Amino acid sequence: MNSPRMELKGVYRHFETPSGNLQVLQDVNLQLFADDRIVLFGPSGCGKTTLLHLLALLDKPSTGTLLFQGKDTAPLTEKQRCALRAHELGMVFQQFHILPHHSVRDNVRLRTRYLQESASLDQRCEQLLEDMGLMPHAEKPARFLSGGEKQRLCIARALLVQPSLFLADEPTGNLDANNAEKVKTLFDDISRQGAAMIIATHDERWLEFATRFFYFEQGQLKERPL
Amino acid sequence: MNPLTDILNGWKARPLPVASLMMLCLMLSLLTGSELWMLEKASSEADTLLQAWPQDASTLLLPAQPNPEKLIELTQRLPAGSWYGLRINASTAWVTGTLPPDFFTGQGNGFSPQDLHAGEMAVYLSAYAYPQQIPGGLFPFENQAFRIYGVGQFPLSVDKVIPLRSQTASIAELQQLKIALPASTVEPLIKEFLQWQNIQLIDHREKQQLAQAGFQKLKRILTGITIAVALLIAVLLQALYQAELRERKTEFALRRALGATPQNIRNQILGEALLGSVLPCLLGYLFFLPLVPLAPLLSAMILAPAWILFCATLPAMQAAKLIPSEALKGE
Ligand SMILES: Nc1ncnc2c1ncn2[C@@H]1O[C@H](COP(=O)(O)OP(=O)(O)OP(=O)(O)O)[C@@H](O)[C@H]1O
Ligand SMILES: [Mg+2]
Repeated sequence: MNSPRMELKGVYRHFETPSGNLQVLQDVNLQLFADDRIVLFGPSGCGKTTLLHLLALLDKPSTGTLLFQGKDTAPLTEKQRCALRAHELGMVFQQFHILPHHSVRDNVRLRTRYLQESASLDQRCEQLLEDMGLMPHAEKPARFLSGGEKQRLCIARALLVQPSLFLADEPTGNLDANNAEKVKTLFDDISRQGAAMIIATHDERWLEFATRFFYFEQGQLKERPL
Repeated sequence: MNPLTDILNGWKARPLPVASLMMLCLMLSLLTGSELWMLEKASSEADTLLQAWPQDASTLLLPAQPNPEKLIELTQRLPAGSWYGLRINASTAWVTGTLPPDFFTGQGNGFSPQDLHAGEMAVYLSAYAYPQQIPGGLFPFENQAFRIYGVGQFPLSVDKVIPLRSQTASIAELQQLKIALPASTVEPLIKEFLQWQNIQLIDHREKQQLAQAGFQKLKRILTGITIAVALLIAVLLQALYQAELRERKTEFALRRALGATPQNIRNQILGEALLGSVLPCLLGYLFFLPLVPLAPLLSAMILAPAWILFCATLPAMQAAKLIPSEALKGE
């Protein structure tokens, strides 16, 4: 039987705020399989980013368990979580988060600072720059890129290692139709190469790409058949 | 990616805080360097002072008015047959300590201190300068009559001996006597005599100790200032680092998201601190290269960056501990 890449069981996430306890995720249950392409819809502030951060091991659930490849992540040491993030996870952030004075190429390669073995990734980096249409800008400091170029940079950065779980927070928010199409083709490739994929977006165009569709209702994650 | 380019590119992103950090490091090195310099200056100054007061000599400060009565008193207390002399040659005079028993007779003239009349002083004359004079006779010198106790080869000039038993030791005109004995070896009886005469015996060893104590005090003050400066810089550095690293939270969170461990982040910050402090410190201390001996300068060159690293450690550990998710949600 095909075991899930990632699994959430009864996950809650709440935040302490000055105005009280803010319950964002409530009893989230989710099984993510290798060939899943999940599209996650929901109004602003419903908790999409919060969920993606949990899946990217950037955050820990308030209660509930999060299993990565069948193993509970709660007892993992910070070092082990970091190793998983470096080797297994790729995430495109909603706000990009680039290093503005590093070149585009160095931004894409940033992850290699934290990998034991990175020589083989040089070629992949060049390939990604090519695929994302960033080759002409490779030596530029990343701060000079346009919004769309920054977004493509972030996608390339997330894909530097072949992630087993790929998370994208509004990956096409700043892209025109042409570039969005390119990104979709690329994501298609990544999915074929065996990455489970979850995309949080408001963009209806992703629906045709999805194999599963989720949406938020009062903090609860609901699945709707396509 | 090369960690060095990573750091240098990061610096380009925030030239102002990096420049102020470097300026602080330069300040630290200049301040501590000048303290080292002051210390060096003070110690060499103390050395010259110490050399001016040789250990094996003392100084007699003579009172304007010697006390003849006291002198007589001492005379009576001196053991029979022992003699103490102030020997005066040309411009200097010195206490000889106990005169050897044959001091006078040893000149080969059968002259004895008892032969001195009350109020007389004795002289030894150069046979070359005064071939006519004979021992036992009187010799007029400096408006006084001296009893000649010897004529011989040495010295070339007139050599006066004032036996302390003579009540008229006329030392009134002398202001200062250098004596060739350390004060500690001046015999107690002589000391007593000097005391009665209101003559101050200045022990150069005491002076040396005083000078050394002064130097120690200066050293302590300078050390105190150095510590104060180091602490002040530490406080400033802490504040700067805290502010700087708070600004960079998103960067660190991003690195963490890409797999950096807290240790990676801490090492990056400490590496930046080291790289940023070594250069300005080196520059600052180079300035003192000709002024301060190499050994303290080299240790300062190692200690100053180490101190800066130490100051960066706490903020670095704090920055390394951040929860990536929080910093990545904001702008
Ligand atoms: N660390 C936090 N502390 C307090 N509140 C938080 C924190 N993180 C998120 N929230 C709150 O949780 C809710 C969900 O935030 P989240 O960023 O997940 O929304 P989102 O679905 O990604 O929205 P958008 O589509 O606008 O990006 C928001 O109301 C937000 O204010
Ligand atoms: Mg969001």
